[in-house]
Amino acid sequence: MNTMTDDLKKTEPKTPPVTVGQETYEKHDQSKSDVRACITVDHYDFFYGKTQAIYDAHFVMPEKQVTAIIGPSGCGKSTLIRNINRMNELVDGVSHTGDIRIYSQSIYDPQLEVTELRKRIGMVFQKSNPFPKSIYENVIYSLRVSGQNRKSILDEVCEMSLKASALWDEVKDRLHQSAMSLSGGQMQRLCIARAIANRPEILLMDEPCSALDPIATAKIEELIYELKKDFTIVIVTHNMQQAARVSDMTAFFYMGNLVEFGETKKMFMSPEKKQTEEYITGRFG
Amino acid sequence: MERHFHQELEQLRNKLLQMSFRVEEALNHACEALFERNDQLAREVIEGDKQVDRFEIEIDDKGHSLFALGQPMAADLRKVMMILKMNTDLERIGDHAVNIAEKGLYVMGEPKIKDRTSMSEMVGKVQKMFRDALDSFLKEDAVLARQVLLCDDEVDQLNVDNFLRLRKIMEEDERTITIGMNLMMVSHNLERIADLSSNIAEEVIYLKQGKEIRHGIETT
Repeated sequence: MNTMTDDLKKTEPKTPPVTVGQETYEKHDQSKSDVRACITVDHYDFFYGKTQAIYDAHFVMPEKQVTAIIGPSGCGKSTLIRNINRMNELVDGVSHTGDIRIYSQSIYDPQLEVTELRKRIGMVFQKSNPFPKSIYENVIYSLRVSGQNRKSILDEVCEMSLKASALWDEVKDRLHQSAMSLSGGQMQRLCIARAIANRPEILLMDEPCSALDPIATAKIEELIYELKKDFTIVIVTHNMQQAARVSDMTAFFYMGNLVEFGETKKMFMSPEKKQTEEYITGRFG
Repeated sequence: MERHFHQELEQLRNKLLQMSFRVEEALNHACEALFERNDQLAREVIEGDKQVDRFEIEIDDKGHSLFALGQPMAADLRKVMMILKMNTDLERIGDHAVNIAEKGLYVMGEPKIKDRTSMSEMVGKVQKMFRDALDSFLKEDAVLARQVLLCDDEVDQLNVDNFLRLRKIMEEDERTITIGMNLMMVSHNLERIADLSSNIAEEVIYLKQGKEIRHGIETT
């Protein structure tokens, strides 16, 4: 269920008013005038039943950059990322006001099928979840589901996706072995390969490294750095140091409110808000 | 596994090397301007210091970013720390080169002092110390860095010799007071450049061996 009014659907995309995050974003935008907005969160409220999880969030995530969403548990960061591909609609009793747009198209546009939306937005989860199939079948699963059966195309997509996820060299000689034989870090990179096989525009990552050791984490982080050349990436992480290492932009949420949004360098070196400073220096949260 | 952090660290190191070449050139030109009475060259050194200042700010900014965003550890941590310290040292050496160039302008019309043996020797030694300190950083050569440190006492002695000799010259001929006083200050500038070159050498030793050797205290 959603409570977005028809009026809101018909209106032109709103320009988010100047507030915390927007102010910083504009500075960023001026310095990189060629940066294009990819995901616009526009006065977005979200509710689980009567409980509001996100309050009037508005900020713009730039194209082909990494945006990190940080904040303490329960701040709404996972809720937000799961709304970008409308996954939270699988939960009973949710509702929202405001909008989220991919480029200029609302994700709630009635003309847009959810399945089409999710083809444009790949997602990687905290715990890697390979299917109990071969490495090869995992990667090309979404193509098979959408009816692609030409072996030459499937082979090509499999190789490209595994190369892009920095896994090819490790698995190229055992593509038809079970994905369950891979290590935790390899499984997560396999899930990234699977997520990008359909060439989405956006890659959502919800705590992608929290179950991995430091070496596997470092590999995923380097992979994120490479992937942003081709994809817009949104990452939710509890690990602030990771947000600092991998992201270009950072959004700090607290109790459902966007406290600050801006360039990661600025957020971690001289944030505008005292609350952000206290959180990233470990004084609360 | 290559980390993009290391690429950024390498870029920062290269930026510091560019700055060091610029400062070395400024020092050499300042000394040449002083002894060859070349006012144009002296002015170029003074003007060129703005570029060194810009390098300092850029390197500071990038180094701070690497600390905040890259969380360097062990050798990487020492390298970023060293680069930031060396950045400050180089900027100061650039300032001393400007001081020498300014003295060159002050004494442009003054009579020359005939005996400048110890001053020339000091210039040669300080230039070599600085060059070797930079080479030790470039090659991460702790042995060369220790050789730089050995020269510092010689430069200190030459500074004292200069002071005594210039005082004697000024006592004998009051027309040499202006140039004598300025050369004393140049001698002091050179002595400070030698100290800063020693700082760089100490930092190279810390970088390579993790040993703290400042102030005569050697730790493992």
